[in-house]
Amino acid sequence: MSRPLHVIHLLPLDPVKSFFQLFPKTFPEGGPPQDSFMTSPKALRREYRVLQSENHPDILIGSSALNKAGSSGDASFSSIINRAYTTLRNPYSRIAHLIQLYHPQELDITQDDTAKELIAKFQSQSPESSLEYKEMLLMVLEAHESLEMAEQESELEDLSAENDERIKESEKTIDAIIQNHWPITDWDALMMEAIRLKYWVNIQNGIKEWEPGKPVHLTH
Amino acid sequence: MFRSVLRTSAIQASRSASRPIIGRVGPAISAPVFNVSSVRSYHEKVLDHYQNPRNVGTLNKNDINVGTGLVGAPACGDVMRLQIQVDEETGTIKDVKFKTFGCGSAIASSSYVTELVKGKTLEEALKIKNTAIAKELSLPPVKLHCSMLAEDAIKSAVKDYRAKRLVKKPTLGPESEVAASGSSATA
Repeated sequence: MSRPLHVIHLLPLDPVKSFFQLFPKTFPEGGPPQDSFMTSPKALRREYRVLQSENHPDILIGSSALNKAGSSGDASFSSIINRAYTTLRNPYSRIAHLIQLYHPQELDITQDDTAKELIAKFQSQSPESSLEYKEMLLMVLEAHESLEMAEQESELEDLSAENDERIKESEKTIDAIIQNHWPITDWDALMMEAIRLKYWVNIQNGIKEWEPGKPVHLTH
Repeated sequence: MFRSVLRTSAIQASRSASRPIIGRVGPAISAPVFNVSSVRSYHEKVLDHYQNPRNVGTLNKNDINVGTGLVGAPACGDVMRLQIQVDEETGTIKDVKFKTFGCGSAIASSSYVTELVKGKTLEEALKIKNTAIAKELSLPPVKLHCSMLAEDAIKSAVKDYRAKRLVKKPTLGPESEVAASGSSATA
């Protein structure tokens, strides 16, 4: 598993692995489990803006000496802030990042193979869990159908509200697992919840990108 | 097989040019004519299946001759349902429908795979590999898992079909309403 974050030398805390540590105002304790998994998107965004305005390469080049040794480092710091922000603002990539940080095998559930193995294991546990997974997939397809049949944006309100609720529930479940069962022993349960969250987030993206008469396709 | 697909693609592509309702697609697609020779074979086929996916729809999942596969790609959150209708006499797939909630490559892969399995026996269908789909559509490496979804879906549909038959044990029963050979689909 590559750890591109080791690239940053200029940060006060050398080698930073955790994106959470880059946002000390939003995550004063360095991220979950000490901090809550549920973040305020507004606070995160505000901190991101401040960090970017302090570290953006254009500003640095413009204000200080031309191309000093540090400038390329500053550019990469700025892009790391970008990546960190993109990762943390989305609850799915946020939990995936946390799992990769703390899982004994540093599992990356954003890898298809890893996630599939996990699901295969989950489905083979019992007929109920297999059915549960299928039902979730059906729910995703149903949401997709509603998106396709909708003619006006107002028709999506219910779907959107319902899906936001699912996302919130999933985030709460994840937060509860992290807060109440740390150090995690049942990683599979946490990772399965993360995968559920991924499907909900995907529906949310579908809703966001919906336009009348436009085919419902996802970009990722 | 591939040749016949190519031919249909070409026909579909020319048809699509006159189609008024093309929705939002990536920047490359907004050009109506694919004249960039170096990338043509890649784009043309993917885009064609993406813009005019074949065999989209639903079959009656309660039909004893219909197998339904429902699979997800957990890493990207795509979901695909693929249904096959099997001709009892010939044991070949006479109809196939799919529905995919996913990215362009996933839709193109599913659409392409439906064309591929039509007229095939279940065994032949099970042999379809995602690498072949990816190669045919020239999917880039990062999109390989999208073609995997299509392979998974076929396997899952065949499995469902067989499981159904096992439970009900129909022995060329009276419920078979198949009159003619279903292999005409390949013509």
